[in-house]
Amino acid sequence: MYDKYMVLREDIQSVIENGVGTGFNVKLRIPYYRGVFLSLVEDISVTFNNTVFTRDQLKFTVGGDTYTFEEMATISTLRWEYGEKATVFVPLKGGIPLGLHRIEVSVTIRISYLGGGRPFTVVLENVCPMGG
Amino acid sequence: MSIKRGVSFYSYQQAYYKGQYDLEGLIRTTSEVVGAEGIELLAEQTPVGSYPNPSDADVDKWFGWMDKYKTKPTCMDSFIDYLMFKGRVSTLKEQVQMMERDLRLAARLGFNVIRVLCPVRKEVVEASIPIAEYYNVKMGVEVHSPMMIHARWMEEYVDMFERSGSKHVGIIPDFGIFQKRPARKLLQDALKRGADEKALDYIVEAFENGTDIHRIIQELKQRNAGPQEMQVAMSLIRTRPSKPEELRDIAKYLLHFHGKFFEMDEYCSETSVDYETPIKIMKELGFNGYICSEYEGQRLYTGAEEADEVEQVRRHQVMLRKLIGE
Repeated sequence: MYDKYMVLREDIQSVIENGVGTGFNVKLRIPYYRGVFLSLVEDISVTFNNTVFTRDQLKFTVGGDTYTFEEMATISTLRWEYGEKATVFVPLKGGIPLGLHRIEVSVTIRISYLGGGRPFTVVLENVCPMGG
Repeated sequence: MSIKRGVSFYSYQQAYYKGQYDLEGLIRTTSEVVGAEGIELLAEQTPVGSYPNPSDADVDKWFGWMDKYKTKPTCMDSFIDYLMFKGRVSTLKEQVQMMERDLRLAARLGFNVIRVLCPVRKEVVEASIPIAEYYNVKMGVEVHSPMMIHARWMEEYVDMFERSGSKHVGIIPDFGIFQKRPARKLLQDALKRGADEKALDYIVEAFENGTDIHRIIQELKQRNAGPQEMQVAMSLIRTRPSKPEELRDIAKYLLHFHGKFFEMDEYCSETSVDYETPIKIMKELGFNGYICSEYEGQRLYTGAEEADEVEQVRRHQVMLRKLIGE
């Protein structure tokens, strides 16, 4: 079910500031059967067509606050709940251009009883959030 | 007194994830559609207010729902994230604090049992006993496949229980340890994709006869089985059956049961797990706690097809009612 519902197409949107596209937001649900404290979100990466954005380039917003992944690594009291949509900001210059794109989102949650994290990846083909 | 029935909300994980139901909706559905009284909650999955510290108003609301829908809290599932921070394992004291956090929450929400995941070290449970006694909440260690009732890990737990003399520790078997064969849907789907029926029959028969799954896989390799057959065999790689009779050996520690199931057919029978024998033994032992339906068949569905979780749980409750003899 995570492959179908982790990222919905309508939840990928360009971010425009002062008339300039600064990137895009991807809303995503956790690919795990429960919510976690933020320190357990080990890694996220987003690939836009052939460009890979890694955790140090992304920002993560949940519960109304925005964090870097470095900050999240030490947060053991605040959570990303099960089914809750968090927002990942991807700094793609100009925002998403017209046309069809391939977007890949990979999330790794550290799972204690499995001894660590395993990435869960979804790929959305032919994404056209600008309606182009 | 007899065995009581409940539902683990793990069963509805897809519906909740998609936003089809909120917590109250799940409680109402359990009571009105599924017909069960007991509620088992994963507080980190479908939290009451916010985990781990709901407001008093949230707790009042929770008990309000219990009254309104005539349901009862049975067991709360706890997770001890001992890899809380990258690069190190949480210390014993940190893990005991996590246990305390969950025992306190369970007590606030009216649960008198928490489920402790089987990989949690017995030292953590042992050190938490005074806290469990303080809150009057029991800690039940799950026996979940591939763990077996008589695994050394469990025996060491039982030794610790004996040594402690505490009434606040025990065991929660998961019915997955009584799985006899792959779920029907898995076999049907493999056939649709062109699996060799004889090879599937071999897997099912050999597994039911107690052949180790690794030997079955070896045999399939020798027979040059294809990926479809292999996939069915691999679905059992972490399934190591225990004998229902062995429940007698841990009878005094049985606190609660997870009614793990994968697929209920149209006649309300489970297609892969033995329920009849264990329930018969539970009755003979005079077990009068809860067995909570825990549907895990969502993963059998791919593509556009989706499991009807509520209907599966309803059928499971019909089966439990019959086997319990209500």
